[in-house]
Amino acid sequence: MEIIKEKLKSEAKPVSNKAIKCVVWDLDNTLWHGTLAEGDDVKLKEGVADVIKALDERGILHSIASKNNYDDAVEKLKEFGVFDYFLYPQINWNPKSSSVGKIREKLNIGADTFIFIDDQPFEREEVSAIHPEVECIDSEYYLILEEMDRIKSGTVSDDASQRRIRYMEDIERKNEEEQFIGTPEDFLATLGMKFKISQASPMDLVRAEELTLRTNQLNSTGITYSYEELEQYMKSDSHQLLVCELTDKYGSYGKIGLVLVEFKDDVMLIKLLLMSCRVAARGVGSVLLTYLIKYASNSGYKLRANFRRTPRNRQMLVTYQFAGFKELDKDEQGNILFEHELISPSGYPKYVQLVTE
Amino acid sequence: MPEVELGFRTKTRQFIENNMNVFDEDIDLTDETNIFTSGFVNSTFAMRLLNFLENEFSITVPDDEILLSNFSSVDSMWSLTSKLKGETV
Repeated sequence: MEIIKEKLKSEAKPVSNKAIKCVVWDLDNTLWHGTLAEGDDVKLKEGVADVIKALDERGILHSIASKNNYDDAVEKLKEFGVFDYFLYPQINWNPKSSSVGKIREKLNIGADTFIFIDDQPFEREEVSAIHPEVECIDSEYYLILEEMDRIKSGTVSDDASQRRIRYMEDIERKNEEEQFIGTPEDFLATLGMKFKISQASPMDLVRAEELTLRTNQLNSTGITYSYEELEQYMKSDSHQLLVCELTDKYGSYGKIGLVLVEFKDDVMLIKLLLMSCRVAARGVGSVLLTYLIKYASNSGYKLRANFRRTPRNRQMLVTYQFAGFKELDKDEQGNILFEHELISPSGYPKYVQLVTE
Repeated sequence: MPEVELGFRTKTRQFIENNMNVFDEDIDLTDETNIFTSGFVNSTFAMRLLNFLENEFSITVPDDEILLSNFSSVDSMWSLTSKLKGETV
């Protein structure tokens, strides 16, 4: 075991240091011994089910990119009792790069948070060529996945073990959405969404830290904060740390939003605002901004916001601009200071109910 | 009106009508209507609108043009699009 760990360290040069969110498995000679389509009596590799379960509890998702007959492979996975752990399994005869691309698109998370594990160098290179951000590793390392820095470095919040369940609820939502006739807003209205904003409590801090690490697209600055820093802000009299939870008729999306506000003289400054990609299509980013706009307006504060453009947060720029924020200042590093004029604050959308404490 | 511009206006108006609920059936959406003062616009609509314009008319809107005023009406979206097209042709 120690030898193989050293080997992985020397061979694999991590393509990124981002925490891993998803492991994509090959099946033949990776997840199990043997080649199913050649009629082998395949057997799960020793300990592989435990690895899958352990990662699942850490909140890491699993999927499959395998060249096989879908029905045959699914039957085997069910027989082994592991089928439910895999989201959007891609079992077909397409290039694996296209399977990985499809999984990435369905899960809506960055390619730089993926591991692809396969015994065939050809397949790893094919995926790597199209998705250079994906960490491609040989199946011989499956037992030490948990030991990899990019996996064990991620903190585990109480939210983590629910992550797969949330994605599965989301698949149900999407199925219903696809069959729905009407505008996207009409569909949202059928969900009965409740958006709850509350002061962060000590119990929220692990998840809050995790949100700053994991959220890339709907993140106003991309700056990450440690547990200790967030704890300081939570206790500080001149700051407010708010967390948001979204629920609908299918269940809870968990704590999906975080805001850090600083109060100084007559200015209320949004230092950080982020929303999990889980709710990117739910139209609630502007609910949070509307809440802050109304809050500032009612308490006589000027409302400003720090914004730092990252390669991934274009949607956040759009959200701020379309919510009526205007650029007040921009420094040489491209850091923007936004200000909202606080005139004609818009209302909340009809399809979501706001709950504040 | 040139065909390109006419096509742009028709397609964009259709997209807005199909994607927003804020318009009363009695209110006509014209090319001058400010779609943002007419009701609530959520962040996903904004993103969809931007993606629609970029894909449908093969433009890329740079950061410094992502301004509410460039998307407030069909008129302003046409000004932006024709300007970006002019710059890239």
